[in-house]
Amino acid sequence: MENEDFSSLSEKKLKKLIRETHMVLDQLTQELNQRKQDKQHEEINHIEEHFDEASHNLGNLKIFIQKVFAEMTKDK
Amino acid sequence: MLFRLFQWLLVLLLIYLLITAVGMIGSGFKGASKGHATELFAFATNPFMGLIVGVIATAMIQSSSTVTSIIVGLVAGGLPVEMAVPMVMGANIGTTITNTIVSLGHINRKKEFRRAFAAATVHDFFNLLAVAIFLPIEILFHPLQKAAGFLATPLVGGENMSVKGLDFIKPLTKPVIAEFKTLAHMISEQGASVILIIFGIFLIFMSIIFVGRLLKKLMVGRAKRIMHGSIGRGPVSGILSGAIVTILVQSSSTTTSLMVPLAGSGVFRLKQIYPFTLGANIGTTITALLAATAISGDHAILALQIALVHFLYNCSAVLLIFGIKKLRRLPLRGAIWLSRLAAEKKIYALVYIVGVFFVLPGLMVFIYQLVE
Repeated sequence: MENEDFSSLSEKKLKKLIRETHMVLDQLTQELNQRKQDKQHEEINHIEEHFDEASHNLGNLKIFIQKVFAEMTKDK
Repeated sequence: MLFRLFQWLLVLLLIYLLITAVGMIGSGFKGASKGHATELFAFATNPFMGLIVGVIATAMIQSSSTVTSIIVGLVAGGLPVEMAVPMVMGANIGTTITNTIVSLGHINRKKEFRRAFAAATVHDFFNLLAVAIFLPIEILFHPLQKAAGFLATPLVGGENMSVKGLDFIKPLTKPVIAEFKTLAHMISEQGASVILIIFGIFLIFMSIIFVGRLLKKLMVGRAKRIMHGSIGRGPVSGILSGAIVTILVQSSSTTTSLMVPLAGSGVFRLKQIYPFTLGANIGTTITALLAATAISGDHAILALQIALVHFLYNCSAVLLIFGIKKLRRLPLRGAIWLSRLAAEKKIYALVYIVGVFFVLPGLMVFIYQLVE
């Protein structure tokens, strides 16, 4: 697309192309946003699992401290 | 259906226990301090000491609702509101440790950890910024205390000074408090008031834990609907849904922790998580307001005042910090910067947790004493 030569096109044609490109861009953005939102809805549907995950936090702390010490000894 | 009804009855019973427990603390503290609550809490005349008490107590038990309810009980027992305000602010900071610890669960996957840690610490940075702005102003001019007092006065009236329209609370809680008082006297005649406070703290702690667990099961469907509804609707909707979900599950730690894995997976962006956590700050204030309904008598107005301070503080912080673009960006920038550092070297995350929740409050007390 970037190597295409537009010099032969009339201004009218160019304007039409720009309009169409804008429309396609809007549609693509809309599609991308829709996909993102679908993923978010999907994630919310599994919220019970996240509730469980959120309640096991002290185990996280223990694992994290072990990792920190492992990283520190590795660096030495 | 019958089981669900039983669960709802259990929720009501637990809320009743929470309210009764706050009354117990108030009554016990009044008895223990014998009108000398100010002397008993002399150490908290230093507002930074009050702040550190709030931070550490909440960080230890991981429930700001429990701590603020206890504070309401203490104010009802004679603790001056002025001393209690920094404690409430501290509880706001202390509660953020829970979602930070939850984010540590993503430690094995670097990118995921970076996102999860940023989602957790954006709440920390916001609450730290709120204290940095509001605490000095409150120490100097007491605007929150005054505004809460102004709002509490018309709500509390009548001869017995109980909350208008909620006069039925005292007759409901009084018999149980009396039973616990008798029990405390049976255990120790001299230490009965202290034992009553311990009973109260234990009951608040247990009722908040169990009510939270029950509401999580009962309200998960409604919480889902609210969250589905807020997707793609901007930050105000995020704040509102964060507040409502927190009211439904009666725990800001739960809602803010819930956001961490959602951010970690990359499905939700930090900018979307941020308003939701601010809503959680507002939603959590309902517990202290509920707790304040337990108090009648001379200190009813003060108990409601401190609960309203909690509410006004969180609302004002959201309005001010989130309302001003430059201020709004600070917690985001702080969280992104710190999460990048922590993802590279995990020791930074540890230094941050120990520093913010334990060392920094201590340092502030030390500096304040030096200045004094």
